[in-house]
Amino acid sequence: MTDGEALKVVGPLTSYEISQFAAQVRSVFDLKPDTPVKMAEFLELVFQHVLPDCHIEVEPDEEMPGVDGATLIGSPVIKFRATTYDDLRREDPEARFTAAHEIGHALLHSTRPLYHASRSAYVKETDPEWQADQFAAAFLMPEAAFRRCGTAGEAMQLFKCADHHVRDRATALNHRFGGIQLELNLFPLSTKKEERDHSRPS
Amino acid sequence: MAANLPLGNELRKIRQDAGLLLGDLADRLNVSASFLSQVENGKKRIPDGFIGRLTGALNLSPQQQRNLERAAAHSAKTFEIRLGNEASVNDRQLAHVLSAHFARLTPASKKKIMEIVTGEHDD
Repeated sequence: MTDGEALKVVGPLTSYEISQFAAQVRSVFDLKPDTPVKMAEFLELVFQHVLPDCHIEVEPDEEMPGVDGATLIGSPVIKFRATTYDDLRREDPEARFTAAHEIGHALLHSTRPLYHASRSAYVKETDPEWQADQFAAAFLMPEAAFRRCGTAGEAMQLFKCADHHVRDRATALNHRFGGIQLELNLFPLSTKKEERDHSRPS
Repeated sequence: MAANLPLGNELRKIRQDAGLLLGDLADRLNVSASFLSQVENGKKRIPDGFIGRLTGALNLSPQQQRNLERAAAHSAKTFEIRLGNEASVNDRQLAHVLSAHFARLTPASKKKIMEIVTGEHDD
């Protein structure tokens, strides 16, 4: 897209509003905040109960070059390229985020009008991609449970999310991990010194 | 393109009722998830013997199998009449006449043929 082309925009939503909405969605499905959602099962077997017309399609990789997932506007069909779908079944963090992102599109945008705006008038709160990312992060990493994580690694493990998504979520929530302190506690200097001493040739 | 949708919808319903992901059923059928997805979404023609494989893979009841076969019939746009090597000239002629003149048959004629073939009568 060149600078002169129009942007696709939707009605504005703040990060807080999207977070609240994602929490409501989790609540509707009775998803526990500190348990990672099994995204493939959720998408194919559970989500349809809220959007009965919603189903997923898996396309051969060559039919979706460079695209991991897509949601059709006007009918909530979520498409995945075959490789992404296989990754999703293996609970790959990036594929899980893609799936949550597409769920965000299906819930937030499949029935809302899409407008075109000048590229120079970019406002992130009206960008459907930004909104879907915010939804995915909030859906996969509920705020309260996220704040209880001492390190980014702990959050990555708990929510099965990639490092950069965890760090983006921390930034969005203005949350600082106590990672450095904890890492020092895990490897106290005295222990390291003893290890060094023991490893010295006698 | 939505040629196979009745079959696809029926298949998706049976699969989801069984708690299976697309990939799970694809594994059981030894096909790719994208192939099965395209069958479900009416983008791929149903291969020969596919309903039988589905029946085995999903352990379908006779009623479920009949529903799938009916849905497959409603989905298909073309049908093949397979003639064995021993097919007589009359057999070949009948197959040809049926395929060539099917569109011109009246509803009453089609009903009569259906009754002859299936042995089912409305009365």
